[in-house]
Amino acid sequence: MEPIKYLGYNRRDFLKLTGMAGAVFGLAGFATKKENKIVPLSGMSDENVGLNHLIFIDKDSQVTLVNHRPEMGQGVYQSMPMLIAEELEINLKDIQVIQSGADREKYGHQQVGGSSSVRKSWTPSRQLGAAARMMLVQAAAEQWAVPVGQCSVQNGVIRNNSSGAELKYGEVVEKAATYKVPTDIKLKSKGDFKVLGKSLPRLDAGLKTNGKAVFSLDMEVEGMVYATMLRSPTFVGKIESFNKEEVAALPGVLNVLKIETPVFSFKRQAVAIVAENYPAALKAKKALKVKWNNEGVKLWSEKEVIDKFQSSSEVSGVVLESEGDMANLEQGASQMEATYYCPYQAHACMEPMNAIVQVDGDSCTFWGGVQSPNWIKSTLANYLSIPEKNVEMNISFLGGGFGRKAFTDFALEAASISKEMKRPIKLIWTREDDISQGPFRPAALYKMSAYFNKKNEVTGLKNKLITQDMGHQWPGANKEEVTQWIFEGANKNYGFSNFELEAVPMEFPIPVMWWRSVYASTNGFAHESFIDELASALKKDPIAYRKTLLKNKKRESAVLDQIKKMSGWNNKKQGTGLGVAMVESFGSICAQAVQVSKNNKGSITIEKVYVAMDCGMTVNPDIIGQQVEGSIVMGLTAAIKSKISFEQGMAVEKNFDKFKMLRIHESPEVQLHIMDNEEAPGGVGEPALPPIAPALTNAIFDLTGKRIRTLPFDLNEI
Amino acid sequence: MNQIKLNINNEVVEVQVDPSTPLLWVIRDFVGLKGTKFGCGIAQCGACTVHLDGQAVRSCVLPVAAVVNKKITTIEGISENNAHPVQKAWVEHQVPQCGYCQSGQIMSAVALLDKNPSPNSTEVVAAMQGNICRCGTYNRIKKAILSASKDMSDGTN
Repeated sequence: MEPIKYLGYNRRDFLKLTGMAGAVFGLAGFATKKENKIVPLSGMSDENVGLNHLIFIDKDSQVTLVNHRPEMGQGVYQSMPMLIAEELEINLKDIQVIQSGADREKYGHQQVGGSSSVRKSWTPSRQLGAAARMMLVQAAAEQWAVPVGQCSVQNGVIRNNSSGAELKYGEVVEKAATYKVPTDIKLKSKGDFKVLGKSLPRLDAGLKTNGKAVFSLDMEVEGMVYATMLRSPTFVGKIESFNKEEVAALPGVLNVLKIETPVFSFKRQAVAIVAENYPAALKAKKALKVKWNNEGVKLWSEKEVIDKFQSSSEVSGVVLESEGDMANLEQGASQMEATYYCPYQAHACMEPMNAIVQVDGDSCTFWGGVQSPNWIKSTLANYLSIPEKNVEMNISFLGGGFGRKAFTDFALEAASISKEMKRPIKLIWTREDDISQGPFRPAALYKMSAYFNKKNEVTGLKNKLITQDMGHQWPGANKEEVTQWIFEGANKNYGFSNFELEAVPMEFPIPVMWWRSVYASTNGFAHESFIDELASALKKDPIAYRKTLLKNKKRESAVLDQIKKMSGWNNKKQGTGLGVAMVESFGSICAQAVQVSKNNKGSITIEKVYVAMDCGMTVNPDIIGQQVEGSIVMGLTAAIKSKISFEQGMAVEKNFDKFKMLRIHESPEVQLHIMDNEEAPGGVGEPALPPIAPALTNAIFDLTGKRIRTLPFDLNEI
Repeated sequence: MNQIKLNINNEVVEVQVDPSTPLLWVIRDFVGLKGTKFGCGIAQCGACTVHLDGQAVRSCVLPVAAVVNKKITTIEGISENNAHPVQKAWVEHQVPQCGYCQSGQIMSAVALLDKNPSPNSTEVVAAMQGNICRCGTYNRIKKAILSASKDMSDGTN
């Protein structure tokens, strides 16, 4: 069964891509211009009538919804249409979805990251659905000459309640499109939802089980050739020489070029091999010999990297949060300290970085899967010194994103090669490029301190973070300032009367970027481990202690009560350990309890992960389940499997043989409870990642008494 | 460059290609079947899994010259319209997230069930260890394979 017709780009469609001309009207958060005609997107039939830039209906009542956010696995291909469908009163099974390009004026915010899609589209997308429904009903009411109040709507059919007559949306859409968009819109409340909050099967699931989903790597355009690149292994090394003629003479090779493109504030040098096909380019790359000049480049060893983090912890940083008076705590008080360390990580999306770019005079066309269509669009325009309106973005499905595919480097590389070659270039990073070139999740070191008075009560807590500030990488960055969200996920609700969050930004030449849950991915580990250490030092139950600290925070307490109940906290199975962690990030609260045991060989087994998640009102609970399961796998991978380390200034791990991934036999059972409330929607894609590492190490402490403060660690060596 | 004849999804196709080219790129860029994916190039992730005479193999490290006269099956040959019980189970259990690794996952799963129609959970996990999913769909993959196995033996599919 094909749930929907995918109107993405295939070989045929490329030839007729014309961009998305036409004007739109819309509501808050979307476009503000109003013109008479909305032109269907490329790939849609001309029979479609647009009621706004997201909703199209043809005369046969076929509804086509535009998904303006890139789909990278997180489920916007489902959640965005669901938001509209709820108010438009249509059955999701009957619709088609088409992926939009990049257009700030039409679609406003399109970037996917920071678990923001549902949060940002929750109101405007529903308003667009409701406005379109109101216009359709008005058209029907006029046709029947009855007040709109006498009409009702269900599944795309408008009913005249007095006569019983019915009109389908397609029968009135042309008339509806001539009306002014209503602004007085009343949205449904949670109790009236028919679509939202239901686990409706994903519209892209079928396409992703028969090979038909079109990813970036699957796109082709007329006349394109392939490129692979050999980049400076130390990121900033310069090319001294390379065997250009020898490689250029190899079969299928069209050109061998020196390329230099910006990565934040540095220029990365590389040799690009352009070939008729990709395997020819790869084969030629094996023969490529580049002499690198690393003069003036510090060639870091892993020990030096860690020493640098350690020594930076002695430096005073920037205090971002401060409660009470840390400088004047009770004299004679005792102190407890612990140091935690999380290493660099690669994103390793299953689909390695790739894109097609065609630079043609003062215009540029991009094809690929990206998280930030408008950022990449404007960066391409700046780089090529052409107007932004001359850049056309065609967005495919993404084979994973995790923050990496928001970044712009690969698009600029392909543009640079295309400009030189004067034809469309399909640039594909190898897995080795993908894992060893960054930008990475930054490593982070934490000095946690707690202060006690003579009665052995905690009087203060200090979290000192040493990490790279992503914002400091840009040209002209103010390095006196620290990114405000650098402490995302470090819980500020615990109510210590003296409390301080201090960050020491490390200036380091290693490129870093958002990685699923960003700084929360490491903040959660240090903060929640230390809270657990405090509970243990005070001989208090870890859940009860957190509840005491949280005082009147109702949502947090409810989540802890839930995790306590579902994990069997008070009836722990003999021979098992239970650990808990709760992290608030990206607008949601997520508590996890991990149950571990030790087998007769002394290895730790993760028996089960319990999750209580408060992400406010939900769109699709089953997708929340997917995201929670996925976050746990990715967080566990970083906790017990993977790291990026450096020797000679280069990443040591380059492929999955050394950059180890969690595999199916290591994936624990997950039981999820979603809190039922009417709070505003919170993030879903990331908040379940930060708690898993500390919940696991807290569980291991519960079972063995051993405290783990450095990630990753081996479950077989506890 | 050699003229090479391949049997892919029960169709004979001829390609003009360097015989050392990995089968993956021949399938994708010379034959034009895009369902098989590039993941690592060193047979570590399973995204490129296809069947060679019914056996699951990693096409990224297999020179095309080695597969002449063998029967190659790709995801497109399993069924174009999700009619195969494994594909049905994949949709029923809502396995895919980003979806990129799923062709390879399904090829490994189909090869397993062809050989062992009623695997237990340990056998499923053992057979699927070569396929990485960065989105973390593993638990659903396990459930989908066990339920497909049940459906196939019940004759409901």
